[in-house]
Amino acid sequence: MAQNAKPQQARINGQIIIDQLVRNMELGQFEMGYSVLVPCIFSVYLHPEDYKRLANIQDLIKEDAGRALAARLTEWNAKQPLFKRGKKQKLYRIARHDWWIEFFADSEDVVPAGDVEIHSELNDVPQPGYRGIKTTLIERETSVTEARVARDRTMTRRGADQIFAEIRYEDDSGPQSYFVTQNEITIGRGGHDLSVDLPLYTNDEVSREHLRLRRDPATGVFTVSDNSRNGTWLNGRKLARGAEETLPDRARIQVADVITLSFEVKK
Amino acid sequence: MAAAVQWRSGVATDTGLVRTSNEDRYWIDDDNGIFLVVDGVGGHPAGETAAETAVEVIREELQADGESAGGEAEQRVRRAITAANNRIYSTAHDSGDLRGMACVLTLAVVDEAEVVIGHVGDSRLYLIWNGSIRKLTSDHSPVGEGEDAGELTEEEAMLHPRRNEVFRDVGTRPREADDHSFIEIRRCHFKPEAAFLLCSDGLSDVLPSAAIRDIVERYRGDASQVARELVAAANEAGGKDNITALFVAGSEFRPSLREARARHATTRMRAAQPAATGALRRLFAGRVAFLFYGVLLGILLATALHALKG
Repeated sequence: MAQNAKPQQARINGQIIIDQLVRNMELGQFEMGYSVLVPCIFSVYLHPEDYKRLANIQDLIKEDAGRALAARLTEWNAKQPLFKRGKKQKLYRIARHDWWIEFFADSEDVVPAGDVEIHSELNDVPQPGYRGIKTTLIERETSVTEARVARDRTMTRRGADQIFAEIRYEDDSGPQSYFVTQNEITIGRGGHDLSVDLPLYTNDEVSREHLRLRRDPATGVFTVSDNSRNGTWLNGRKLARGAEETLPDRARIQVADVITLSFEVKK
Repeated sequence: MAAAVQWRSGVATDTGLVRTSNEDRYWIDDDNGIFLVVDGVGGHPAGETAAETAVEVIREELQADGESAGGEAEQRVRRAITAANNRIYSTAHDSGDLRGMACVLTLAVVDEAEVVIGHVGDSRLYLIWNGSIRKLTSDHSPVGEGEDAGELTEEEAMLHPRRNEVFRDVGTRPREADDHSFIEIRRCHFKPEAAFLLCSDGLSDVLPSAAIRDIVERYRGDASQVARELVAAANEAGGKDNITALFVAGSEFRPSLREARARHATTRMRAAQPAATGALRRLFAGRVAFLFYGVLLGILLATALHALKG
């Protein structure tokens, strides 16, 4: 793999994608007592141009890739360890009935033309009670995506063990209540490539990330900072964009001219 | 019932892996924008009869309303669910076998640019928009209240032994349409880029909302496919109860590219490697190559021995 390889413009083809899927499956092995799980959910990221070029043959690539992955699994299961005859070999298997492979155009500009980036998972259905983080095995150069993975990891670890504050508001989905359980939360409209902790179902007068609340873990004091196009008001007073202001234990925070958040610290 | 948005809907239901009969029922009326999921309570055959009665009565009531264009959507929803409640109650009262039968339900009716939701019990309605999912209905159960109040995490609630208890149902006692402790009504704006999922607790008890969102966001225009995938995932997670998923996607609902969340394995190929590397490696390090090395070594040894003897 190619960290050291000098990037070059190469035309991606089906074989490269399939080889990389198989390689990802090999790297993603998860060994257990009697069997070895391998990933079966794959998200394949391509440069937008490559994605466009392959759009109408994606299904055929998926079909071929599914066969290649299944064949590799059969091959592993057929192999006997050379010097351990008689020892029971662990069964290689997948958690679902079938492979799930989907192609995506890379929207973050991190996958150059000719490259392929693959994210895989063992299964997409966490069992009830599961709150841990999935192992993330990264064998590639640092990129924006890695930062996102780290952020998601933090979010997954978050437990709703202590409620620091409650925010009541009404958006286009009706009255809502949100419990603040982290020391920092982002509030806004969010978006497909920008996840906020408290997404407001509303119109685009509200910025995607409109404001941010921070809690000092030592003192328990909250601060608010505005990060929006149309402004944030704290108890009727407009906040300076980017400046951090202390939040009283009870406050009315107006988001643009659209939504009012009733904030209350829980003690 | 006029609608300002267009949508696609699809539904899937399954008995699950543990129960022997399916007491879930549903009804879709795409022409009038009516979506209903009902979960029967009381065991076979009472639960099924209650759920079927609810669908039948609500359909009659809402279609009769449609003809006479009567009243506000909220009132129509209240009247329909109350009529279902009273019919189930009287049927159970008149029959020894069906005594105590009931159901829980979630009804969504499109009213111009809004969806009016009527809800009783622990079935659920989720709103999926802009990469996020939120539950719009409350769970009318002790465990659900604990979860909604932030006392229990989603997972704790899912594993709670009293998970199946509900304190509101449709059918165990007579009700009035204006009884506000009976039907929970919500109104939600129906944005074309939003989607709704109505489901029975057989789905939400085994799949956390994040898992539901991930499956819903594989939507590629086929709402039934999403519903089927949700039901299949619930079965893979144990299928402890009957499962029903009714998915309604606004005309501009698009899946999110949220795939960059933590993955088990992430690999990246940077520019194609020279194709010769693999072939050369196979040539010098493959099984045939080792056989060749063995034969060569044997010949060398034999030659050496021969030379020594000589």
